[in-house]
Amino acid sequence: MKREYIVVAFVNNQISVLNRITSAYLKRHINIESLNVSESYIKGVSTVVISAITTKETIEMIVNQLANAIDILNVDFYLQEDLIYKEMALYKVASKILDNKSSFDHILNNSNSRVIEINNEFLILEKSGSRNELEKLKDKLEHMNLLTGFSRSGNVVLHRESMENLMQKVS
Amino acid sequence: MTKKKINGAEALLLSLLKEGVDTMFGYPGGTIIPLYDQLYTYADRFNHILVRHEQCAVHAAEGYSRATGKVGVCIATAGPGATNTVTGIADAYMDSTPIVCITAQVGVEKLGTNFFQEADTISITIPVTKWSYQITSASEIPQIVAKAFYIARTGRPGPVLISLTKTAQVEMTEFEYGHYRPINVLGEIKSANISSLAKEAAKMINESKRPLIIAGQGVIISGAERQLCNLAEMGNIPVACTLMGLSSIPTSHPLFAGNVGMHGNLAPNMMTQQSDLIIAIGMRFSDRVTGDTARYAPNAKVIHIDIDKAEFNKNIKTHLAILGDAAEVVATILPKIKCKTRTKWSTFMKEAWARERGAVIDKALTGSQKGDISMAQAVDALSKAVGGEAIIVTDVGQHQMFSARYSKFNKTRSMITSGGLGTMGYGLPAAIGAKIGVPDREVVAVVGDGGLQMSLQELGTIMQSGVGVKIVLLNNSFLGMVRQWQELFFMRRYSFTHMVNPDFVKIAQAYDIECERVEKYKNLNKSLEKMLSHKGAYLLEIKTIKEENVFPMVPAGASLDDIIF
Repeated sequence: MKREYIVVAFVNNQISVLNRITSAYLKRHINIESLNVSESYIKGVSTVVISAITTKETIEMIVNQLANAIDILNVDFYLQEDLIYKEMALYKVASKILDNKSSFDHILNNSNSRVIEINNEFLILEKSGSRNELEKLKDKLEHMNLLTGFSRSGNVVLHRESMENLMQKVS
Repeated sequence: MTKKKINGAEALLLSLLKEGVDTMFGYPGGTIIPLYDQLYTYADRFNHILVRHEQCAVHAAEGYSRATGKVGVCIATAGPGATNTVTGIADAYMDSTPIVCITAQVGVEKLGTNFFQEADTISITIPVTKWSYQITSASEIPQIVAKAFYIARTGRPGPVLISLTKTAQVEMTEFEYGHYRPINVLGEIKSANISSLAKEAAKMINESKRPLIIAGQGVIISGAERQLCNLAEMGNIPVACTLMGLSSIPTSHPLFAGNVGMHGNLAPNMMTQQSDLIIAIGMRFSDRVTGDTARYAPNAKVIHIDIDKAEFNKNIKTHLAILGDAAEVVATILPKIKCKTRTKWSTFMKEAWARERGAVIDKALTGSQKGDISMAQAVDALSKAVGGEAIIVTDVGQHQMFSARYSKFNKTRSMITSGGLGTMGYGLPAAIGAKIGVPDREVVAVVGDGGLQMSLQELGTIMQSGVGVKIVLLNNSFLGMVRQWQELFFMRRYSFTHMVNPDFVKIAQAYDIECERVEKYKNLNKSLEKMLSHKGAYLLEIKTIKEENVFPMVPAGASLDDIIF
């Protein structure tokens, strides 16, 4: 059965490591839905988070292949529910949203988002949450014909596992 | 006091010396001149073989590595030189052959500008290398070379590519070398559980009525030939070899069951289907070995011993996976093995062999009524003439399968062939590399007329470097294996498989290589003797029956139960 699998890899922060990771997906003709690389809590080690829709067998093969790669220190795959993960999104909204103050307050409070910039033409809303939550707000603004721009980060994740266990795996 | 400064090119050569390198295969070009300039000075410390095509530099390094067990080294220039190496690197990747490939790259300030002879070698080779690195500063050279050799030879071996920018070659640096010590130990197997798994494996083996060992190249890479033999003898367990595992056990050994797979012997393929326990050592259940995986070894439990955990459960479900070095794991299992007679099982093997002899072998070794030579006869006669002592290096195709089926091997590292990638053109350069690596052994390249012409230019390498390699050309004027498939599965529509060939004897003469052509079986042995008694390179062209098929055969995707012969 195909479903979304999130691969989390701790890698040396070096040139070409990311290409080696994505090549494992390319080789099997799998599209990457979201990808995020950022510094981890260990100096010189980056966290790579990739989500793709595929089967368990395939994701196991990918992870086994990646585990062999030299600059990949630790890699495993998860389902959404195994991880604490969030995405952040920015929404560019036409300033006419302010015409109806009560409706605007309602959106802001209901979606748990905040305004980070405002000018005559538009304002920028920022919201973090699950992909579903982000999509919900996007749909709503689109429906109201107010959305003029949208951008979303990849997944930012933390394991539920203890820090000691992880440090052991990586070092 | 400050240390003397040297340029990066010299630092690279010194680093190679520190890694014990004394042989390299290469081809100069514009961007790698600084390195070759230093090689001019260091010519007394390196045996540099000038090949005629960069792809063949890699194949030669592979042949060298496969024959010696050492890391093969090859050098090429930037751009086309580097892209020419890709086939060879992919071949080494598929067959787990440790090589370090050093290719030049344009100067750092010109990277990414489509400079003359610039190709993004790192990106191109990512999917076919175990590791790669672009050196942009001379000071990086010692540590990167050390890491490259460590990675190439450790764990499951493989190719490593170093892209050496011109900047790094000419920059001055102080030279200081230290062997690589990984922080996150590569290939370090958490071997704590080997002993408990070995106990379980021994129990399974002792309880098995019809066990079969399948030995892959991992046995040879690990140097586990003695342990394999001991395991077979102590437990009275038959041993089958994969194509890549051939020569890991002498073919004359009474427990040698033959080779498995698509063109393997009847006995080990039938035994696989009958077996209640497969003990797979250093092999990866490739599709050429298993056929239809759903119907593979239906009655067997599988013990899989391998150094690469990615291979477990990849193609075949493993009941007991033991991650580790084959020699160590088998040695741990050994003391717990009980000897069983298993008379029925050995009778089964003997009967299957008798059946194959009757149905296939005797016929193939009879040849034609007109006295023409079959490929099976040629390989059999060659094998007898060298007494099973030679290293047989093959190209890819029918002759390769005949070589695997009819060659005899007394010693390990005696069968060198392109198994995973199936690279035509591999045979001749790999044989050159093998002969350079082990000059005291007889090295015979068995090649077809198609494959030879893919690396024909290497006759020039043989001539220039005086490489005493024997070439047995099995010439049927066909791309024989493709023709066989066309005959069997495409209604004899021989689409572009017939070859109009040059006069190979004249070509050999042009390269000053002794040669002869033989067309009749009655002259075959004499010709082979003449070839083997000649000191130095020799090409023997054997005209073979045009439309000969390799049998038995498991058609692609079929089950081992559906062997045709």
